[in-house]
Amino acid sequence: MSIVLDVVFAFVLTYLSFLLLSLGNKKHAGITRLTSIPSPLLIIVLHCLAYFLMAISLINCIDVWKTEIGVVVWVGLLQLASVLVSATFTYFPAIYTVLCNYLLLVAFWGPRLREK
Amino acid sequence: MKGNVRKSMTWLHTWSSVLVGWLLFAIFFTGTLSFFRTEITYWMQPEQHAAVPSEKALELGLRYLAINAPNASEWQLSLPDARSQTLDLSWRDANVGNERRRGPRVMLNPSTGEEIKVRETAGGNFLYRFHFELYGIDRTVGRWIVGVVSMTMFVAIISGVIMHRKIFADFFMFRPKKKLLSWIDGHAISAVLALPFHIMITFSGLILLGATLLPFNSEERVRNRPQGTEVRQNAQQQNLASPDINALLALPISSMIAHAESTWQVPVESLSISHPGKANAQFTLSGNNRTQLSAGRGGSSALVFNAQGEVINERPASVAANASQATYNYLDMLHQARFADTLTRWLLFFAGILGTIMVGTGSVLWVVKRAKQQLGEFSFELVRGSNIGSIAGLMCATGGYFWVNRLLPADLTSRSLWEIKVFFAIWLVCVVAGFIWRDRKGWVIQLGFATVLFALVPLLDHVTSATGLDFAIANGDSLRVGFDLMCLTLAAVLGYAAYHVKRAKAVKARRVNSTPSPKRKDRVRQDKPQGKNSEALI
Amino acid sequence: MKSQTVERVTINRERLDVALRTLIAVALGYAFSAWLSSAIANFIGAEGREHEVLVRMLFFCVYCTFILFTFIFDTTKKASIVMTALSALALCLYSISTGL
Repeated sequence: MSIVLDVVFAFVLTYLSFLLLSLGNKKHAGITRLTSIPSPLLIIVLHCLAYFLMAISLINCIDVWKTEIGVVVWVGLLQLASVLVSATFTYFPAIYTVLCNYLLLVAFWGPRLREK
Repeated sequence: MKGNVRKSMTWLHTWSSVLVGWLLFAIFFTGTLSFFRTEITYWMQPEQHAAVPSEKALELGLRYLAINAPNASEWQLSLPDARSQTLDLSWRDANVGNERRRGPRVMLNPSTGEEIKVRETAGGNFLYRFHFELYGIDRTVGRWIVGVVSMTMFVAIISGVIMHRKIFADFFMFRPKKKLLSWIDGHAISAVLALPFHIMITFSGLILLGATLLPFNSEERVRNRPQGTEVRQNAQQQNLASPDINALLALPISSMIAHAESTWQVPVESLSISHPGKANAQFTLSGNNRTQLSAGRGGSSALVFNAQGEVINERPASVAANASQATYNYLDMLHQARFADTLTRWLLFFAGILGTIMVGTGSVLWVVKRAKQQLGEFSFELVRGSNIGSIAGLMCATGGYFWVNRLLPADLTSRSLWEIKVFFAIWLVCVVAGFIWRDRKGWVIQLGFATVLFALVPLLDHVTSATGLDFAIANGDSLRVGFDLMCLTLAAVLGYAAYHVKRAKAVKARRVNSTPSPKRKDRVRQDKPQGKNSEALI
Repeated sequence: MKSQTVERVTINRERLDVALRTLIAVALGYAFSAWLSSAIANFIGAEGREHEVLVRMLFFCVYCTFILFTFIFDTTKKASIVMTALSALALCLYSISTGL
């Protein structure tokens, strides 16, 4: 059971990190509360947060599968998460918006930080 | 080439890919299926389906060996695991000598101990071998062809990365229902999001074929290969007394297994007993406990016990001799997924599917892009026709391969050969049909046929297997249920594709009959280089 | 009529250009990659199995780079000269590495 939780934890983190990365894209940001073009500074912050989550996910994978296999599992999860983020945006934009607005709290910080 | 670097790379990417596209698709598709070749073989031998893993497996195996191989110098028991439902036994006879590398093998039902006689089938092994040495031609020639195709793929991947202008801006971008743009997005997204896998699988595939492709490099190794390394040392030319079954079962094998499992935190998968029934018997337990890929094939450690259940030797995992060997081993293990647990195997399979989509969409994209300008030209029609046969036709052939496995009599002579013949016959018919009907009709027919084949696989499985699907579900046979579910998923994808292609006609008709709105006009202008109704011309 | 002939000549020239580049990329590239990867492995001092796997891995990276570069140059003449010169250099390196 614990390995299932580890997988879910690592996957959720990679998925969230790709959600953050996607917010740097004008079209993706456009359907959330971050309604205008993200500023360069905001993009840097989004990327840093995303890489931080990815790093935690990597550490978790390495902890469970050890370094060599852990990296393979992590890259596999990254690929899966990136495809799912893309699919969520394309086919379920409402879910994408909700996830970004309320899970990543874009509704809270988005309107304050977006480029004027 | 004339123009800037990006233009040169675009030209190279396009032409290198289109030349080998159809074979590349077949290699990628069969290679991806090969990640589950054991599971495919399991499905294609329905005699195995009655097997249910049981705690009695070990005891039943030992009983069988004590009765049927009393004089063996060594017994091997492979216990049911995540990839096998059966108990596999093999032994080496002490009187046979060294000339036979592998002794007799049998498969038992782990809950009843009955011997399972499986039908002859090419199984997943055919798909596996096809993906790196093709079929029906000399093995070396086949490997050369696959090597050349792989090298072309490698060039196409790297040139594709260089030519991609908005690799980060369009990272997640997929725009459906946008004709050419959708094909470009589909191709780019499947390529970029799984790029690490694509580079790894192509490069590792090339180095695995290195012995064939680089004959100048392998010469020394062949010359210096030590002779007689495969000679076994423990076969003795003597008659041994039959082991006592009760004495055998009284041995603390269960505690040995418990000890090994608690040490490794993974299940014991196989047990090897040398000198069975003797005082000096040794029990070697192994499992998928590897933590390093760079260690290569000997990367799992093993524990050796004596008859009293004491650990007498801890056989450590091998270690790569140097950095080059470690890197090579890493790539080798990754390509063949020998280390993979269920999750990792599925992740690799998923990436393989993305690779297959990348190759397929790339081939279709070539046609869609040129539909307006080159319709009717020989080279265009050749690629257009071959796309149908190589993509949809291969799906039909694979579906037919599974069907024929169940429909041919189980005791037919050269059964596996017939399965392969039917596979290629269906593929050939599809290729010819693809050239005859090169438009939507060809796609719809073949995709529709493949959809029906895969959609009915679970029904076929239920009817033609000794045990129905209800038995499989009740006993948690994830291998068989998983196979059937994957067929249903593939059928759904193929069905959607067929529906989508068929619908393209309606769009075309509607457009011809109606005056475009201003908005539509704008869109048409935006899509100008794509060619009107280009999607309908795939 | 004249423009058609000019067009045909241009097409034939382009085809010849592509054929020559392909020949350079495939044949000369193979030789170049073999020499260079063997030379590197020799210079590193790898022997036996290590030498073999190192050459295998280097070969395909070098080969891919060579092919890409052959098609980057704007004229075939330039590509032929540079790639031939590089191959000669790789042969020299290989010869030095084997002690010839």
